[in-house]
Amino acid sequence: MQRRLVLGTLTAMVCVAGASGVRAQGFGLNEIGTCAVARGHSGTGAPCRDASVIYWNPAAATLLPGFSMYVGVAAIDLGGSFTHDSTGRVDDNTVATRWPLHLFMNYARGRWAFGAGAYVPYGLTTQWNADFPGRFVAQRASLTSVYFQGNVAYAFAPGWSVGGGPVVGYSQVSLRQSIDLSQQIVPGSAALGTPITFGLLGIPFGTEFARGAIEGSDVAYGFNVGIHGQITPTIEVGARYLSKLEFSYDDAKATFEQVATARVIPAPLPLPTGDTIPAGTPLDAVLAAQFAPGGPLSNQGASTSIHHPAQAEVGIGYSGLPRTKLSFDVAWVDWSAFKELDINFAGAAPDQRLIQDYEDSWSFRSGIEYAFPRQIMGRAGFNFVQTPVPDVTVSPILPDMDRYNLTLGVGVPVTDHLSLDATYLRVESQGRRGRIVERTSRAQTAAELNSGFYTLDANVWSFSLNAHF
Amino acid sequence: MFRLSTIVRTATAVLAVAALAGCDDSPELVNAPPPVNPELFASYVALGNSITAGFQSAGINDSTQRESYAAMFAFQVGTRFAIPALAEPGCPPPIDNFQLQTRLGGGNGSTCFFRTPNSVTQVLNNVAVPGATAADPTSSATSASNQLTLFILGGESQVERALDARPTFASVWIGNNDVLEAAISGLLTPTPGVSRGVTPVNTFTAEYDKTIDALLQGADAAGDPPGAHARSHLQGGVLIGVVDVTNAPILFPAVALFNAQFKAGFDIAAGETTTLLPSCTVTTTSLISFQLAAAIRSGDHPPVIGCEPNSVPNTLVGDIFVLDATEQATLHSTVAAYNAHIEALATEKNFAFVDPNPILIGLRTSGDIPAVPNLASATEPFGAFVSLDGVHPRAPAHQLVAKAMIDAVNTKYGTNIPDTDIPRIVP
Repeated sequence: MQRRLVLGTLTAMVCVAGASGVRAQGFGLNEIGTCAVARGHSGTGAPCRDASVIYWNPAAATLLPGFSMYVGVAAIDLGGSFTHDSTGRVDDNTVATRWPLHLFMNYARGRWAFGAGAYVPYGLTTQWNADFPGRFVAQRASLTSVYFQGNVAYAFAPGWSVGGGPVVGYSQVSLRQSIDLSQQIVPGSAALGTPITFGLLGIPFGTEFARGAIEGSDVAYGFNVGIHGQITPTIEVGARYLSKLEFSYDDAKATFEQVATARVIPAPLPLPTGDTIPAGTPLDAVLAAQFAPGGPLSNQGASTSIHHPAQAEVGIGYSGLPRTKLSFDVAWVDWSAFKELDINFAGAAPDQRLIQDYEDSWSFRSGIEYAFPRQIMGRAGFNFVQTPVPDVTVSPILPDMDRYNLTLGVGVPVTDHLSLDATYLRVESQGRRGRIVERTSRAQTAAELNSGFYTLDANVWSFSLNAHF
Repeated sequence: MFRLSTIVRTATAVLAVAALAGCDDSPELVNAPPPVNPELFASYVALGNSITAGFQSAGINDSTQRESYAAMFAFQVGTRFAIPALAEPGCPPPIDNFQLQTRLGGGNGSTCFFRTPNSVTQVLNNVAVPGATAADPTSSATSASNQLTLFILGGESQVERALDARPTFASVWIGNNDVLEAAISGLLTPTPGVSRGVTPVNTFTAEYDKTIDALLQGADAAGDPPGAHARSHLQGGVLIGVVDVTNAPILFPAVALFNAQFKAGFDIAAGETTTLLPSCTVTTTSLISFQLAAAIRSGDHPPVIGCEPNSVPNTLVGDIFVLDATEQATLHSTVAAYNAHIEALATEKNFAFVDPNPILIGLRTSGDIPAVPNLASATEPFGAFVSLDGVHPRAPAHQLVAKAMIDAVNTKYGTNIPDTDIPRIVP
C-alpha cells in the first residue's frame, strides 16, 4: 500500500492526467514526445534528438549532448459514435479531452548515458451517455498507466550503442457499467435446477436496475531495451523491446447502487420459492434485498488483472537528402496475450469474464523531417495502425478499428538551449461494426452479436520543451 | 393461471443452457426480404391483443406467433420484426385435439415455458398482449392483465414498449376483448369472475384515443436524448376495426341443437346428455357459446340448455353462454359504434383503416367457416381458417388480414407492398 501511495503521488505530479482517450493499438498510446509523434511515430530507427529516446530507443540516449530534458503534454480530443441498427439511434462518445504528459531526463558523457523518464504507453478512456444502450458493457472505462523508467546506454562501437533499463509501472483501472435486470437470476429458480432469468419472464434486455463500478490500482515491473547503429553516414537503424507488465488489481473496490425501474408486476406471479408476488407490486421493492448488506449487490472487494503487452519496434532512417531525414518503422504489439478480463468479487456478486481474444497487431510508421533555416524543423508523418481487436470484440469498452494517422509538426528554437516542438495529429478511420452486449461464449460470432456501427476519429495536439545543456 | 413452480420444473431441460445466453442482438426476428419503403417502415410496431400476438387454439408459442398477420405484414415490407417468442410447446401450449382437448406437448392450461432466450431483446416489434382491452395499451397493469402481460411487456405498457422501438409505422388492433368476453359468456353486464361486460362506447373511444395520442405524442416527445439522435418519428399506421364477435365461430345457432347428430356431438363434449328447455324452439335466433359444453362438463352449469333468460327462474340458465336477439343487437351496434370512431380517427390521423368484418363474413358466406362446428373433427371443427378455440384465426385467416392491411396501406400511402405470396408462417 505504501509503495502505491508513493507512486500514486508521483503519478499525480508527473502526469497530471495520465489516461488518454485515443489508442495507438488497442489501449496502447504513442503520444510520447512531440517530435516522434510528428514523424508518424517512427522514432526507433531514426530517433529524435531529445530525451524521449529513453522510450523510443533507449540506446540512442548516447547520441544526446550533455544534459537533456524533454517535457510535454498531448491534448487528445476523441470523437466517435455508435449507430444502432434497429432504431437508428446515434450515441456519441462523450469522453472529455485528455492530457497525458511525458517527462524525460538524460545525461550523456563519453560512451555512457544515464537517464530516466515517465510516460504513458497504455491508457484508455471511453465514456458514453448515461442512457447509452451499450452501458451494460461499459458506461465509462478508464485505464491510466504510467511507466517510470531508468536508463543506461553505452556506445560499444563507433556509431553503435545499446541501452535499457527497468520499468516500474503504476496503473489505475476503473469500469462503470449498468446492470441489466433481464440477465439476473430470478431468486429461488436456481435451487430448482435451472436458473430462470428475469428476461425469460419478459423483462426487456437493457432494463437498468443497478449501476456498478470497480476501481483498483497496482504496480508492476518490466524493462525496456534498445539498440541503435549508424550503418553508413546516411543510414541508421534501431530496434527496441518493451516487456510485458502484469498488473493485478487485487484490492479493487466494487460499489453498487440501485436504479429505479418503476415497473410493477401486472398479475400475480408465483415464485419457485412458493411465494407469490401480488399484482401491482413494484418490482423495485422485490429487488431491494439485492442491495442490502450481504446481498449480491452490496459494496464489496474485487480483483482483476490486465497484462500490458510487450511491444517491439524496428526502424531505419535515411539522411542522404539535403537537410532531410526520412524514417520508417515497423512496430509490433503482443496483444494476443490479452484473451480475457476476469473480474472476481469477494462478496456474492457473480464473477465476470469479459472475453477479449485480441490478436497481435502491427503498425507501419513513416516520417520526414526537414531542417529549415534558423534551426527550424518541419516534420510530417503518416502511419497505418492495425487494430488488435477482432470483429467480435468491438464493444463500448474499446470500439477499436484500423486507423490512419496523419501528422504535421514543427520544432522552433527558443534560446540556444531550449526549443519548442508542436505537432498536430489527425486520426482517421473507416468505422466498424460492433456490439453493445457482452460476449458470454466463444461460440457467439460477430454476426450474431454486432448490432451497430462505431466510428472513431481524433485530433491530437502535442507540445514539448526540449532543453540541452 | 400459470404456476411458476410447475413451469420451472417442466422448462428446466429446455432452458438450462440457454437461459444465460439471451442477449439483445440475436432476438427472435422474422427474416424479411429487401425493404419496400425503408423510411416509412424503418421501425414497425404492432399493438393489439391475442390475434396480433399470434394466440391460437387457446395457446401461444413461437410458431403461432410467427403466423400473426403483423409478422406477415413486416415480412412483406421487409422490416425487422422482433417477437416476444414463447418457447415451445407454449405458454400455454395450444390445444392440438379439439375432441380430447389435449395440448401440444402434453401440457395443460397452466403450463408455461417462458420466453425463448434469444427473444430477450431491447427492441420488440410485436408488443400485443393476449387479453388486452382498449384500456390496456397505455397501462402496465389493468384488470385484464395476466401473466402474458408480464412475459411480453416486462412491466411496461404496450405503448411504452412500442416507443422503445422508436417506431416509424404502427398498427393497432385493439377492442375485440371489450366485447368478446361478454359475447362468449352471454353476460353483457359486468359479472364478477365471469364477464367484464361490454365496454361502454364512450369509455372505449376515450381509451382508444388515449392509446393513439400516447403513441403519437410519445414518439414525438421522446425526442433525441442528449448526445444521441434518432430517425424521424411515427410517419404512418393502420388502425384495424373491432370484430363483430357475434360472428365468432365459437357461437353457434341454438337451433342447431335440434339436429340429432350435432346434439349428440355436443353432449359428448359436455360429458353427459343434455336437455333442451322449452325456451329453445325451432325458431330461436339465439346463439349458444360452445363454452357451455365445458361448463356442463365441469359441473359449473346444470346439463340443461335454455335459449332465453329465465329459462330456469332465479338462475343464469338461458342467459349465461347464450346470446339472445336483443343481446346480439346490442353487440352489433356497439361494435359498429366502436368502428365508426376508429375509422374516423384513422382519417383524422392520416392512418389507413381496415375493417376485418367483411373478411369474416366472407368466410362465413363461403362456408370456409362452418355455420355450426363440425364436432366430428378433432383438428378443424371451425374450418381451416379458425383455430381450435373457435375464436382465434389460423394462418390462412391471418394471411387475409395481412392482405387487407397491405392493400389499405398501399392505397393510403402510395406504397407498393406485394400482397401476394404472403408466407403462411414467417420464417
